[in-house]
Amino acid sequence: MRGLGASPNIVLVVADDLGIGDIGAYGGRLIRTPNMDLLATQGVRCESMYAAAATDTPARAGMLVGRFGARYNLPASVSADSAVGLPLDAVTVARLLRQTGYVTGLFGQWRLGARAGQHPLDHGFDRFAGTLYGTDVAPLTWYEGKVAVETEFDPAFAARRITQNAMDFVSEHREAAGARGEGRPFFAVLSHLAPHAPFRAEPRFFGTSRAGLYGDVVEQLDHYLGLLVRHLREARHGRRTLIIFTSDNGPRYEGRTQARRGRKPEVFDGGVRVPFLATWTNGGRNMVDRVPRSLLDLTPSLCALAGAGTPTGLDGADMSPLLAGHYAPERGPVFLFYNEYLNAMRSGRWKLHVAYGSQSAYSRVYMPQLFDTEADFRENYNVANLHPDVVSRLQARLDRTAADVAAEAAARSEKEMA
Amino acid sequence: MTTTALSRRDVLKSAGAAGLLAMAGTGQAAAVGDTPTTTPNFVVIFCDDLGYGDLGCYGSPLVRTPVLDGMADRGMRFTDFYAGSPVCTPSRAALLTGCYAPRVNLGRVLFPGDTNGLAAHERTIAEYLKDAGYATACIGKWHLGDPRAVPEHHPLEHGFDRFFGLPYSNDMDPLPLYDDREVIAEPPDQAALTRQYTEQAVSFIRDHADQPFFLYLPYTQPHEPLASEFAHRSAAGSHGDSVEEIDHYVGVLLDELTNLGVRDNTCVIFTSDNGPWYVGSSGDLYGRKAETYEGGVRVPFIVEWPNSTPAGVTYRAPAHLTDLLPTLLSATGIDLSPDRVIDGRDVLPASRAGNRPNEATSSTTTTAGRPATATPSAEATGSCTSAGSAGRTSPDGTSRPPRRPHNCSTFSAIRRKATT
Repeated sequence: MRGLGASPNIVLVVADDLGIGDIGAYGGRLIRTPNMDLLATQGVRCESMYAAAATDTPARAGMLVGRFGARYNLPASVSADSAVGLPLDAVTVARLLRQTGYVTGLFGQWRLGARAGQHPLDHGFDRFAGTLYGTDVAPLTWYEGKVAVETEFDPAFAARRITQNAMDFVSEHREAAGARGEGRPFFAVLSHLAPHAPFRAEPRFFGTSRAGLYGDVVEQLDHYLGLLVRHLREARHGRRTLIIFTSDNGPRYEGRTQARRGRKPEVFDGGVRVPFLATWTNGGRNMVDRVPRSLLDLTPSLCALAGAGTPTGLDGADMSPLLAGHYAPERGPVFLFYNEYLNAMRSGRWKLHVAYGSQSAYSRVYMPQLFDTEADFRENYNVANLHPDVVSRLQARLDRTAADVAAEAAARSEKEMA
Repeated sequence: MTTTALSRRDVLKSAGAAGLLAMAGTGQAAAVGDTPTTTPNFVVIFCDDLGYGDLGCYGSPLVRTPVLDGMADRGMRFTDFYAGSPVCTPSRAALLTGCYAPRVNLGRVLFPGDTNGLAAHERTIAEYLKDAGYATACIGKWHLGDPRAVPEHHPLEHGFDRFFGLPYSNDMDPLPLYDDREVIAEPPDQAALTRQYTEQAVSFIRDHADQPFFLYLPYTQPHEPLASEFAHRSAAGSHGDSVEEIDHYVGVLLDELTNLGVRDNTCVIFTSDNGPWYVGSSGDLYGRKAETYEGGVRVPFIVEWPNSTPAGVTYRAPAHLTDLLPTLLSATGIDLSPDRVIDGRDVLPASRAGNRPNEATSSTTTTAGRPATATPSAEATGSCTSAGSAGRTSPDGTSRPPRRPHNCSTFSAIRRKATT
């Protein structure tokens, strides 16, 4: 095992369908998010972070593997009766970090499969406590490892239980490491069920916010984030800890999108822009980053921070210099998939849409749409007629990626049939 | 059809007195024998899929509309004006009949060959005004029945003396361009339509400048497919080209009214049938065409009526497209037919005085014809729906952009239950 002296602990907190505009630090005024806001002032805040995909399952695959979920023929959202899930040859960041010497845990919603070989423990996590689905599936089973311990778990208590499990994991690990902080770094993922619909809040949060039940759930989420962060700061490890807070994708039925167009599962900015806050427990520079990036970047970035080798063939880029507080690297285009359809991309100031939804002929009628996000952040005015050169250039780039992903997906599909 | 108490002689005699009565601020004129009544000309410019945020005076950062901005400066601009529906046909039905579209059986978008359309029994603004001696014209998009399928659905059967335009949306097929009852092109050159409609409108006004006239001008643009003779001029792409071209031709129309000496006696209204579709802006509002969120149903509304509407006023109380019929009739002293329900209200007295109209709620129908009730004013007690609430005014008078509210209904219901 190579030296892990400088490898940080990493805690990744992922909300489900949280509106970026609901966070105070992103301009929200109605919902109280003091803990998220505090994180924002103490570290990196990304203003142009995009989801890895437009919906739950491929978004989560993208985050954990650093490759487009569309490569793996994943459904929009794994449901109780689907047999599809993350295949074993999809190497997660958990597996990569574990190979480097980390101890890894996932707490909360998995949503990447329920069959053999599709479990978190099959994908590089030493510990799992959580659910295979989200609040939209009932009854919901709570697992410890692969064992079902509660078959009618009330998601109202998910934020609490997820946070408690994660804090216990961190504490156990600290005790095992000893006072001098020897031992292995940890990688913990808190995969919240909130605030995905239907909204479930604990009685004590019920009716307390000014934004209805959705607001109650977000304020509850923020409360538990606060407990987690305090716990991490007090835990006095020998090594520093990086806390990342984000959402799998944009808001659906409720939640603010900063007045941008669209909502989940659309690839207009309102559906795919997500909050992204990254803070070190031992302090760091407050930086606001505006470069368009993708949550696909998590895998290569966390590997780089951890000193782990990064596999080739990833779709994400390495943004670790930004997370380390050094500088903000440039990044290439961000590709936005809705299921297997590559419908849009962001490149610099331009946002190109080539199709909508499932790419029916009808959905392509008034495409392509080229938006200038600097002059028109609401994606209201198609200026393709004014910039045909930009359209050709971006379209060619998009077509290349779409073809590459489709080819891999087709090959996998054939292999599965065979 | 019942006739009104006015005779043609009354109408012509009263033309000069119109301005005086209007300045006195009385919405209703006494129609007793030969007493003069107000007989302003009406021009209603009705765009297709033009969004709340698509005009300069409504905050568009990219679309330039100097003529319409000027109208707003000289007249009134409504911040909370609601279309009849989030989609074409029902919105147009609401405008012409003063009724919610489902009430007149036009709750859904019509397509070529459909046998449904505006019933003979319904009375349009044009029929009322024509009976009162007005010359009437519909120039542009009809979309209240396919005359090829059912001849009785032709605009000339519904109170219009003159029709020039398309029977439905410009993305439908076949696409015949009518000149009265004759099809003169199929399909027409769509880029030329905004100009052609304006030419026909100018022609109509010239022919009838010495009598009261009602010009209903439902432009086909900026409904897709976008087409304009102003191509590539706007920083807002093709949608901007179409809107800027319309702005230019509204200017041509206003100049014509001035040249003919009828500008001071003409009420010019500009609005849209619903929110923006594939492109176009609903400003800060959430939602677009075909949705009952604010962005789908709140539309620009500007009225310039010299010596009648106050100048440079931003009117913030909610109003609705069904209000047009009763308001225009009230301004002319024409009574509504008593044999039917009219959903709109006369907003003239209130808007002139800057007050809120009496009623607190207005309704917008969904595409399936079910009402989605909007509680429009901030006075409404505590309940908010996903259809949104009106923007609030800051102390400095600027309107705070309305935000898409969170759904409070669950909370309200639960709180009520908890406290009982």
